[in-house]
Amino acid sequence: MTIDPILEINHLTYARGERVIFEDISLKVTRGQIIGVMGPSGTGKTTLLRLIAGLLRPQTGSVKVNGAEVTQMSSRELYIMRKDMSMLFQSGALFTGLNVYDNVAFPLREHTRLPENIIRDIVLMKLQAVGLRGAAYLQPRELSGGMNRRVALARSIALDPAIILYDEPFTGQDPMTMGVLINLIKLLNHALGMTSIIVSHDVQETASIADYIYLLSGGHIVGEGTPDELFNSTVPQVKQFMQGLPDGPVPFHYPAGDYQQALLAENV
Amino acid sequence: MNAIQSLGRATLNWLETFGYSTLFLFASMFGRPRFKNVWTLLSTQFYSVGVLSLVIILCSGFFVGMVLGLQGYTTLTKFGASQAIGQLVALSLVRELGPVVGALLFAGRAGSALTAEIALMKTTEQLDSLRMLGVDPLRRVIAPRLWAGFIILPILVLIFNAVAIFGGYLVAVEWLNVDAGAFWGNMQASVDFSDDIVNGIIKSIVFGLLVTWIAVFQGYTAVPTAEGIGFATTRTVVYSSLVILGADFVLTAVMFGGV
Repeated sequence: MTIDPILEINHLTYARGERVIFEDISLKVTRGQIIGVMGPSGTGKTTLLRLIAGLLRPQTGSVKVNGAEVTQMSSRELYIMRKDMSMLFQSGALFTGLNVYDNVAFPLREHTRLPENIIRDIVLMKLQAVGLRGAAYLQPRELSGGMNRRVALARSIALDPAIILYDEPFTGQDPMTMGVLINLIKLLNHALGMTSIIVSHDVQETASIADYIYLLSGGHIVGEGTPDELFNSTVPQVKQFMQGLPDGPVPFHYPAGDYQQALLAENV
Repeated sequence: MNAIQSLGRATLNWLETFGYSTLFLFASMFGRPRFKNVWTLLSTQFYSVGVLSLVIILCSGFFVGMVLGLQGYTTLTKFGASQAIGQLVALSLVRELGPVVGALLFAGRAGSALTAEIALMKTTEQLDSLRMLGVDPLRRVIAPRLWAGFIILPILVLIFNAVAIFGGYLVAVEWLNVDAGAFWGNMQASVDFSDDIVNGIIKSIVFGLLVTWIAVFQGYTAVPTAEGIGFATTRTVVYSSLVILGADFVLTAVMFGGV
């Protein structure tokens, strides 16, 4: 795991107001791999992606992408860095008012001086890759949830980024769409030589494609390893999450006073 | 002690928001523009901010003018001065009602729509998505809307005034039989271009800037939830209306009050 890390996070601490979201987190991502970042809802997995992309700045610690320190970049440098990195948002975040074709063409028109006929070829190739060339002239509101995410995927690979960040790509998708997405992520990663970081709480789906998984809980990394290592882990927190047990180190009950007393209390 | 503390905190919060919104305004209005598609972006906004507000501006202007004509006539007749109706209608419109009512309508129609649109883009992660695609949303989304609102309100107010004066004419001359020559003649004699019309336009420019500023800022800083969009839209209309009326008093005092 130490050869040519494309992304390196060292001793990162991030707090929002009083609430500490990450405390002293370190992780490394090797070029060309698919990395899963998993953890229960509300552990700030999405926040981690935003920190990597420089949309948020941590209090302390460093985030290095391709050896360059993201936390120190000016907003101009950040915009340049992000041409090499893209994010697939949970909602897809397609631009309303632009059709599928224009959405995919958007980054090309913004950042390149390519003539329109070449842009057209690239857009059609990207759409073909996600299987939606036939939907090129639909509006975002006419797409199903799964199609929406595939178009967003086509848009995020339009500039052939080196890193792609997936924010909960499987959430709210039917099993068929999930299968399609899993295949696409794997295919794109290998065919285009990208590095993928998938944030998700869908254990089976993520484990089926990830080369390496980090497990986040309560602001710390509680476990890491290949999917097999994590499934066989005996650390109680890892075991509870990977096997989906309802009670364990993460309790079923939200902290509360004594149950009996609450029921018998007179003055409510 | 507690009351003083919370007053202090509220003041600090207010100052912080005000400072942030000022930086926000300057960053988006005077950030390095991208000339590549500036006209496409601006003309889209002229359409959605300006053209779509036309119906409400035209209708309201017409009715406001007719009511002015009617009310003015009944009062002026008591003094036998019904000839002065043209002057009354034109002056009250050009100096006060045009800019103020026009801006209030603009805040209700275009301001709330701007806030809702930007807050929705924030909620659906479109603003972050722009940032990830290496495009600054301040320049791409906010700046064209600010400039469009700023430029379009004075034009809408001029249209409002023209339609309202026509409404006043219809009521006074065509219905109540005031002499047409007296109506237009008195108006021409009493309305001064630089004192009345230009001051009215200055008012509408100030209001245009204030309303669009509030609208885009509320949208941009909205809490990104369905509830947050609703709150932000309400705040836009409330704040804009208050600011328009407050600024109108200050401007009127400076322009016509001899201050």
